Amino acid sequence: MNREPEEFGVRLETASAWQLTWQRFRRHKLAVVSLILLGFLYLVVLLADFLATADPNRIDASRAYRPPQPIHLLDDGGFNPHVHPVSGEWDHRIFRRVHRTDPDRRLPVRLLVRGYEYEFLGLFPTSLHLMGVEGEAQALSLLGTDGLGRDLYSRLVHGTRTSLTIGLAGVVLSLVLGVVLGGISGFYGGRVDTLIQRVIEILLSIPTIPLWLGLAAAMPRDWGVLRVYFILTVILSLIGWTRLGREVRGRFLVLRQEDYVLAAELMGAGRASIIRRHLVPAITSHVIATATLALPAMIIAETSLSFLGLGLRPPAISWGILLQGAQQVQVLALRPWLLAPAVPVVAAILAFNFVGDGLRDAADPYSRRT
Amino acid sequence: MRPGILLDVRNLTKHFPVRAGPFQRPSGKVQAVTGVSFHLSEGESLSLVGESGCGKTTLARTLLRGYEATAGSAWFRTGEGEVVDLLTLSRRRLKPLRRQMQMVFQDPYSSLNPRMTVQQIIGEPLRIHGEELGIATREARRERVRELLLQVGLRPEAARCYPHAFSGGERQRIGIARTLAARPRLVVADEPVSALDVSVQAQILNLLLELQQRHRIGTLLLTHNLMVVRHVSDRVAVMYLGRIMETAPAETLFTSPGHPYTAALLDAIPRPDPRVRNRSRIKLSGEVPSPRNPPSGCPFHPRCVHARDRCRTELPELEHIVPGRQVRCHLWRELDLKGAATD
Ligand SMILES: Nc1ncnc2c1ncn2[C@@H]1O[C@H](COP(=O)(O)OP(=O)(O)O)[C@@H](O)[C@H]1O
Ligand SMILES: [Mg+2]
Repeated sequence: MNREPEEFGVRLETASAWQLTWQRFRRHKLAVVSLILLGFLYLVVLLADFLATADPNRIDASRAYRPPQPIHLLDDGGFNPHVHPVSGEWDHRIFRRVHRTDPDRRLPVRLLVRGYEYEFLGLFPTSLHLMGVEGEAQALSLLGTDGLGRDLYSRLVHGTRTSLTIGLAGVVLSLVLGVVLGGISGFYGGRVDTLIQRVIEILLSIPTIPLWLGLAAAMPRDWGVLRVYFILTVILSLIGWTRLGREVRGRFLVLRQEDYVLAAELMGAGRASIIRRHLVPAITSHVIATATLALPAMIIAETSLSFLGLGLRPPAISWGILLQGAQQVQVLALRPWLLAPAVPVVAAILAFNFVGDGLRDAADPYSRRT
Repeated sequence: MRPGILLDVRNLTKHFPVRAGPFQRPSGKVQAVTGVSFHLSEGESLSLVGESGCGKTTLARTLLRGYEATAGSAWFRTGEGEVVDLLTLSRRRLKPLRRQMQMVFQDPYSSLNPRMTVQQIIGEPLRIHGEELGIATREARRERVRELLLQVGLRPEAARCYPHAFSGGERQRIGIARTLAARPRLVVADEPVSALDVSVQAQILNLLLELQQRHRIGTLLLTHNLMVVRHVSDRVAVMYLGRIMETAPAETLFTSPGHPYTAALLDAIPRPDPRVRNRSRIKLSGEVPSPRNPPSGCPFHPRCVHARDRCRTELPELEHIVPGRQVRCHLWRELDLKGAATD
């Protein structure tokens, strides 16, 4: 007896279930680091315009394909961050644009400078940005520029916003549908169960890619690409809940047979209380696992569909679109900075998976031990 | 209902419809429990003994409204002195009464939620019936759980642990603590020790017995093991294929069984003394027939060594032979059945 939980000491006595989960989660270091990374990425999502140094859509042919630009921190022994202005011109001998740095002129890089106008969190218009070159935003290109002279860093920040949010509604909707409909099916059984199961079978027989292409063609012409994509993910989530729905139903059917559920019933516990205290906790770890697989899948889907030209299209900005811009072979040799968007894709997907592992273990310590 | 009676079950019947085929049409019924009647006084302990499959679990669950009964009534005297029929009471009126009747489960693994701490498990009835039990705050609940753990012989620190940290016997103690938490007037214990090691069975039974006497809880003990009941119960009822075959005070049943089935059960008890092995044994041969199509006449006749023609066609009544003693057998007057060796 008492072999295990002593390790938490006395605190455990007063800790709620959430506190316990958090304590267990914290011991999973990789998951904690990943959670911080995801927190950072979603902060970028919220503050994309503020973090951008230049208007991501502003085209300037004379600045095409600039390499990343280092910021010099010191100037004559004092702290004075600055960049040197770069001018690019076409070199007819090597058929390439060459960029010349002017080491004599210094453009100071400041925090909280005025730049292009945007709506802060959609609330009020402002032109304040985290950093930049006052009055000449395009002069700074932290990650270089693309073929149309657009600032890659600013585009990446905006792409992060699109890629990390556009599929969320769909994922959440299919999780909710899966848990609720699967739960009803398994808990009540009988006719409701039969009905839901038939619906699932019908939905499962619909092929998704032709449906996707068909729906995409059927959308009103005057809708923007983002809106079309968003609506498509939502429509597809009406099909995507079926797997989770079946799994939840199966779990509920098994759990209904457990003596401890009968015990609660005979004790006089209400239905809601039985569902909340006995059934739902038993599926949370599974739902978390499903969610943490669905979120990276949503990112991959956007990235790969857009890369192939089936998902988002310019002028929208997303990770997939940015990578599509890096499709040519020359990129590897001459303009490797255009591959930068691959870094957040990989990082985000790994982070979701690690956080998922950590949460699953923390939410349901029992599932590991048996 | 006579004063002092806690539970009076009359003609309780539970038949499960059997559905088969692609359209799930009813194609028969499992006669799990048929026409069972018995009564239980306040604070008394009654054992129901029968082989596996004779309908004990079904009886327990029907009585506590886990299943809806096919027929019959179960009159229960509530703590407020009202007499109600548990089997037909509306769900709404039943709910507050649930506190007064609790169940101890057979399987100490399946009956405790592995995701809840012992505090949460034992605290559940306290939360549901907190008002009636006068336990309103989290603090009070914690204190009461502590008290209950001590009562069932566990350390109070156990409250913080999850069930997986405990052995089968300890889990059953936790289950009993949960039962006690509600301060029940009636406890139905369905094979409370049959899943446990022999070495701890006696401890758990003694605990149940002690608590039953200390708190004056009417206890219905269901078991397939006659040895279990001998020292625990005041009265014993023997069940076979969903029917009661004999009821008697515990000692009487052991020394002079009235039904051939009881005699066969007694004879099947393993004895430590090798010398008594040589006694002519009444064989309890063959399987229990299926309750889907029970034998005609006396349900026990296919396995009974004394069976006559009459037994094959005519179902015997449960007859009162002396006060407090009933037997369902055509031949009880003629047979002189051997009891267990008095040791
Ligand atoms: N839910 C059910 N549906 C159909 N038949 C059942 C059900 N529960 C039990 N039975 C049948 O009823 C009979 C009695 O079972 P049970 O009450 O579990 O016996 P015991 O507890 O004495 O072993 C068995 O033949 C069993 O197969
Ligand atoms: Mg049973």
